[in-house]
Amino acid sequence: MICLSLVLALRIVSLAPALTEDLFAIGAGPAVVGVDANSNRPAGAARLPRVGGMREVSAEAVLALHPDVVVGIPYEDRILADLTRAGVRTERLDVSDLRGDFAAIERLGVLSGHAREARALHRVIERRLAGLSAQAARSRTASAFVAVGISDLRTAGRGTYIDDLLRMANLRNVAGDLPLLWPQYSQERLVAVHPEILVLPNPHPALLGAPWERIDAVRAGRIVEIDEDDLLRPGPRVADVLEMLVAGAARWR
Amino acid sequence: MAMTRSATVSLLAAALVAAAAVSVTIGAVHVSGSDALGALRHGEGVGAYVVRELRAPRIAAGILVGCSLGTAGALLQTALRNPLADPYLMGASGGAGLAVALAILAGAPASLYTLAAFGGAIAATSVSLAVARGAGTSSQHRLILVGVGVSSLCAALTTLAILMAPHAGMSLSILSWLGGSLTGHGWPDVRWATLTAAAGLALTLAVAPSLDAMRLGRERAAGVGVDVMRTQFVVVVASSLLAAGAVSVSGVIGFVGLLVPHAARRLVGGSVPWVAAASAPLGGLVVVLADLVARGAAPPIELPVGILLSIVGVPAFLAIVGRTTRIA
Repeated sequence: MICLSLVLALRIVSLAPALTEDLFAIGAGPAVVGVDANSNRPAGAARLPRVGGMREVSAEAVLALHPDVVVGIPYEDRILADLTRAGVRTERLDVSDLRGDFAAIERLGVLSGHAREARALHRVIERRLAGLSAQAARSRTASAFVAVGISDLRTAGRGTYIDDLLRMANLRNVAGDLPLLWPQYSQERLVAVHPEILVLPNPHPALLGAPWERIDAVRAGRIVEIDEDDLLRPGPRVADVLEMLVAGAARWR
Repeated sequence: MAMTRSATVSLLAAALVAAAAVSVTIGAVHVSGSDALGALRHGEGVGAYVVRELRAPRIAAGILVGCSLGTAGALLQTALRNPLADPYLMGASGGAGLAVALAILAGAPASLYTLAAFGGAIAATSVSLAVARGAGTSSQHRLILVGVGVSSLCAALTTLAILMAPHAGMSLSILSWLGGSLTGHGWPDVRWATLTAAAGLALTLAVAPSLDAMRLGRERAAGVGVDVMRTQFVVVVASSLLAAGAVSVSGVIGFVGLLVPHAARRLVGGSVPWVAAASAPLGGLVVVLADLVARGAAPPIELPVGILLSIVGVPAFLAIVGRTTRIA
């Protein structure tokens, strides 16, 4: 009983959209009292007080919400360190790859007193991923390039959840052997490797001129567009992204 | 001395041509040296396309950006009598960044970023000039202060745009543009940069003699019949035009405009026309080589050229600051 009241009184501030979605997905939404500027999902999170975003988090705004715990990603190390010095409990969760994404869900479950729901969510996601992966394995392997950024050709390298998802979708990530998480890819190499499928966040700028005019996937329209809020963040909806990848790629193999 | 100077400038120009030629043969896609140089004129296939439509315009853009920034820096440092003057001083980079941020927020296609950047750079520079002149006698200190103010305002508004962007992809695009890079610029951008560089250089030639006289000080220059205010104004306009052209095709590439003129001064002495003449090929050389490292060091990963230049540029900058204070 005492434990329950402690849980009910818990106040969490989330500094990353993926963590915010995780918290709401495991039923800890009512404990979330503040979020970063990019946490637009679910609707309940979008209505919460904003504390800034993209390394511009305001420590003061966070402290004004009297959080018991602040959760963030490694990108926000500096602000997390500031908050720790100010006496706030902080938790740094690395959600770069799927393993980290699942670990974050479980850890948030423990922190928020929703460990059981977190374990259940983890199991559901893994089961869906396994099913979709088995489905994709029945068709041939195709090569794919994910353009996280269009003008600078930023892509997803080894160790990202996107690389993990491509592998499950039986797609060979053109940038999968690169040792950086989010490297900028060479335009000339992209033209030379001519990936069969292009994966883009939606919305994205038009693909005009060099190098796009020379890339077969663009000329043939073999493009899988995925809402950027789905593609560009891990969290509880990674299985939805895999489903879109598998369904999109199925059109051409 | 004159022989040595012209020999030095010729040598720098030759080094730039050589660096550009070598650059054409190096990249993430292997194309043999003779094939690469042949592909500049004709040829089908992936290799020819890569060289002609991706590598060559990028190298040309690097040359133009480096020449423009080097020359603009040389002019401004003399006109404002400040060794730390930089081509972006009057707000060219701040205005360009803000305009591109707004273009991205408005959903404009990437092909319009160049034009937006140029417009923003010219607008911010015009505001700086108008405020500095409107305030009465425009001393070089006032120009610098106003330029710093306008740049800061633009930077703050750009940060606001990044934070307010409705899509995460837009924020990332703005940040990536601000980082400075020569990737993603085709021949249309190169033609544009050529045009602005030509206009800026023409203005430069017109004022170079008066500018040389100003090295002696404002009073002495006025004594030999130089209109100091007018010269300063033309120089600021010319260097801003050069900076605007450069920033519009490459984003913010720092330190070239600041450091190259100092290196050029060591090579050819203090005469302004010579410093400007040496700064152009030296600036081009620095940017072409830095970009070669950016795309050739870890292919197919592209390293950020702006960061590469800063890694070399910051220690050099500190050395200049150290020397300047000792002289003072």
